[in-house]
Amino acid sequence: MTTTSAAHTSFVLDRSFKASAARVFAAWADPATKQRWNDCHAEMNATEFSMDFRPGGFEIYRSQLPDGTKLAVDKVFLDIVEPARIVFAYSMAANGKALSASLVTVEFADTATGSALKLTEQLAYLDGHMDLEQRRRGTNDGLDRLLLEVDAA
Amino acid sequence: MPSPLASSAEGLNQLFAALADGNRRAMVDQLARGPASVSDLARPLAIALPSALKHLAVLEAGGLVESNKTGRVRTYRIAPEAFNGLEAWVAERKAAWHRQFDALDALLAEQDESKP
Repeated sequence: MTTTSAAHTSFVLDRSFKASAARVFAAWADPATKQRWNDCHAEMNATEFSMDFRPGGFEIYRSQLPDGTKLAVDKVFLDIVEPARIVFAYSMAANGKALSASLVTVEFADTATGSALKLTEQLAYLDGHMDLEQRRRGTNDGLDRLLLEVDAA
Repeated sequence: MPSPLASSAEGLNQLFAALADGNRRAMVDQLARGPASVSDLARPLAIALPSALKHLAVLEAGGLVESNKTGRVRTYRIAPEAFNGLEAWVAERKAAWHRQFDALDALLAEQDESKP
């Protein structure tokens, strides 16, 4: 494998909500509300978070995973049409190595039962994964050893 | 062993189907923190053991988890090759979005209830 590479793909997710498009959009737009449903904050130790919700504004997120990996997510909002569309680009990096960079389009529309959200992510998969995979294996080896010890006890 | 998931469209369909269920995503989350037995995995989800076993069979068929039996206890773990490569990363991103949308759904419902 070469030391630098990029592979590309895209995917679409459709979700329906009972709430109106305006309310779902607001949950993306308001930093305090967004932190309440954002994965990063629910499950990881955030060391830094800021969000400037306007075209050209940045969302910055830093955390340290339990294994010590430093995770960085940098986002820039490219297009915002309230309450119908948000377009942003974001990159994820672990210990300074880029994992992926994406362009994401989120569309909100009212429906008879509430609203529909359509998320399209166009993604470039980058080389930082090679490092991450090595670290994961290291962690798994540790867990395997622990399991053996527990089983033996 | 190359990941069976990344190698074919059929493998991808199986992977995405495996992750399309909330209970199975929760199982993968738990296993990502370390190996666990069927009862360890069933307990936090409050589901019966046969139901947990069915979910685990789908995850195992999708190549996401593997298991081995020591004595009477079958231990499940994340398959070492499962989250490898572009397709698996995409599966992880999709699962992460769905997890966040579940949380968003719950938050919106909570806002409804707190209204006078």
